[in-house]
Amino acid sequence: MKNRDEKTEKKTRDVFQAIADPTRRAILSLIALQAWTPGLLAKEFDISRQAVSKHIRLLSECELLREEKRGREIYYQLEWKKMQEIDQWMAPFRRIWESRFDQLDQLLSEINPQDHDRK
Amino acid sequence: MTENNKTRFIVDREQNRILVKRIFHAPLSLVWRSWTEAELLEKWFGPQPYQVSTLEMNFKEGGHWTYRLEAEGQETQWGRTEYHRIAFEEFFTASDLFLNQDLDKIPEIPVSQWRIDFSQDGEFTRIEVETRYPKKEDLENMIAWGYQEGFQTVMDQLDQLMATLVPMKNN
Repeated sequence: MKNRDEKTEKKTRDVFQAIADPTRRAILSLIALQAWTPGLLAKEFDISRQAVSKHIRLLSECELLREEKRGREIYYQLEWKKMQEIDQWMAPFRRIWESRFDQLDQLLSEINPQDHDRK
Repeated sequence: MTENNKTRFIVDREQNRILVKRIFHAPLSLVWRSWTEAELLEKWFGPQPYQVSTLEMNFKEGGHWTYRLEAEGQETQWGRTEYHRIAFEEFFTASDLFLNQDLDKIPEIPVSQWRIDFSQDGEFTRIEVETRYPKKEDLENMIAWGYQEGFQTVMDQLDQLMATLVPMKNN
């Protein structure tokens, strides 16, 4: 699958990898409610602060998080636009079945023409 | 052909499954045949722009359909539907596998379980496809895979596809 991977846009892959991880999804849902500092976020999880920063870094690399400096603190905010893109994650699955079923519909009309044309 | 052409999707995150429903204007026996006979499956099962060809077909409990998906400018893919339970013209259950070119299962891609239900409603036939994944992550990863891979082409063809789906908009 490697070669297929390389062909596709890196950013796209990362975004979906980002949401495939349960910790990162939890971080996203916290940040959706309000801006968080990395320190406060880390306290919400049982894993090490380092592990949380790693997740945060990946999320901001995917442009899902936006950094905002307030004084000496960094706050993370959700990038809503990017989230909306993810919201369409069902689209490929949908299109596969719609494509198949349209073709099946056509096939059925070909092998069963007299019934199909009646309305 | 108005709302019969509409495909309905229900995502059930609690049970890691997606339900796809559609009504066809054709007798149940024909719809059943188009799901269970290789020559008919080949004519519709490949999502645009893929063409399907059968390597092996044995529609019975414990049997399988092994096929190749090809499209110009796309990497060839292989798949297998393993049949588990079959109730003639009622339903069947199956596993949906992605294979490499040696026809071995690709370990990174989770195997989903299908249950396809058929029912007659006057001169129409209802189809319900349940796709169930082992874990929630699998469901999301799978969709991510679909997004990354050749199905990008399907997206590129969206405009074209939408043209054929125009009647849906009437509802």
